[in-house]
Amino acid sequence: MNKLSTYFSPIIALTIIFIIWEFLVNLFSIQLYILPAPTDIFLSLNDNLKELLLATLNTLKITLFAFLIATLIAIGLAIIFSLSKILEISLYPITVIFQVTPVVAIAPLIIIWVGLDNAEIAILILSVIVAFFPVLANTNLGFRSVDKNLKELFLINRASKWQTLTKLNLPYATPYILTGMKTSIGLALIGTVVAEFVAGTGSSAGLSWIIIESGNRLDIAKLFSALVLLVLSGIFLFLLMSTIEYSILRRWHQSVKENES
Amino acid sequence: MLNFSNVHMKFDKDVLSDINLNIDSGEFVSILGPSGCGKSTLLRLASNLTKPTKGVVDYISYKDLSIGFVFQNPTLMPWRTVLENVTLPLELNKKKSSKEEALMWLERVGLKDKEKSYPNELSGGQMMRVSIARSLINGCNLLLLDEPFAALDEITRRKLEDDLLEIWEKEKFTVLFVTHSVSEAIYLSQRVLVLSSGPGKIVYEKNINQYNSKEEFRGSKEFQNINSEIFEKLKSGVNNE
Repeated sequence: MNKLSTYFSPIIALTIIFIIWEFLVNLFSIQLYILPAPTDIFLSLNDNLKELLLATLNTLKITLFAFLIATLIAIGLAIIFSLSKILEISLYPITVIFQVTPVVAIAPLIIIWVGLDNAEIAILILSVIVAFFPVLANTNLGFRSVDKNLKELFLINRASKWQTLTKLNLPYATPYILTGMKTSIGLALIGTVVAEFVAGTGSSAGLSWIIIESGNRLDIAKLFSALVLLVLSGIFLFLLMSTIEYSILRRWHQSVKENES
Repeated sequence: MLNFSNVHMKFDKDVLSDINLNIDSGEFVSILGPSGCGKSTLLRLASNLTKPTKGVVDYISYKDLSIGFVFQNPTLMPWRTVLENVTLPLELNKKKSSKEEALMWLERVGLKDKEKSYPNELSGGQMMRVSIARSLINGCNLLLLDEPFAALDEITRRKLEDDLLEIWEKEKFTVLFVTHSVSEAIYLSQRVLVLSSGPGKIVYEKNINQYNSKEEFRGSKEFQNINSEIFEKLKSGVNNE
């Protein structure tokens, strides 16, 4: 497989699917409020471009913000866990509780607590809850995997805890942390969208709001164009994280090196 | 400078038993033993990473003790360049990280042009050279090596042995070298100790006369004789199990 075909094969496949879709919708005269043809979706996207882009930006803004907060909390917790065994065994199960509880189930609580007027904050909190665990679990794993001999080398040189953290544990765990972040950024988007569904009102007009609204008005073409933007947002976030990962690991890590050769 | 007296070490079972050992300053001592005889534990005791169950390990008349440790694997940090790997001990000891000093050591181990490379761009032998440079940079006066050349091919291995000897002859730090290769121990050291297994005990000790030419020594009849003598002791040490 050369590079060109890796990029173009999916595009060609999608194009073919769109052509067949367009053809079938026309052939069976399917109603616009059931399944719009790709051209209808594109026209709707064009007509509502400003509203849709604003909503996308809103959703992306909260997603990125939640992702950053989740990452910081998760790495911070992992560091605390690595320093204190007793805190780790006491607090880790609690983080698991957060992880396994469906976000929809706790959304009403959070909304009541922060107040209905602060829907954006509620969405942010819910998205953080959804997103932080993969970073925590992976950072934790990274810290545990630190080479035994390197630890001994640091002990022989009487390294302080701070030196061991900054010069050994964190760099060693970096590939693990980045893997966690790659999962997390997708979860942050899902968390934001789900939270918007539950909490989204006029005060926070994200993509979910447009999906709900156009669903209610049977404007399925607009609903689809919101979906398209949602998908593009997800791809954008994943590519963003992959680029960050690549630029950090480019020089030294096996996973990147092997892909290059 | 390094003294073990009546050292016992016990984890689940006895690992080392009744180790009495005195190593003089500037001496090159090798420890030979079968796998699992506690050789690595002995080095960890010598480096103060672990404390013995019974007995005492101490360093005589050394105020500025600086220990260098070379592991079986090169144990480099893949996210740092070769140069940054070598300067690590200086950083950790909060000494001014001196690039010149690191470059000097890299030159002495024969890696001058590799300072900007990352470990994954080096061969096994080169990585081990970086590891040796790192262990020596901090004014090392006690160098502990844990089967450092075991994974290298014969030619690379001999080259590294000679380079290590050359540096040692100039710097005269104390060396405790653990290996399972009889000929390597004889070739390198002034004194060879044989450890038996289960629990590890020093069962034999042999002083090696120094030849002017090491290469000549390796080919000599005397070398062969010492080799078979020590091999017999090693073998009977294993049979003790």
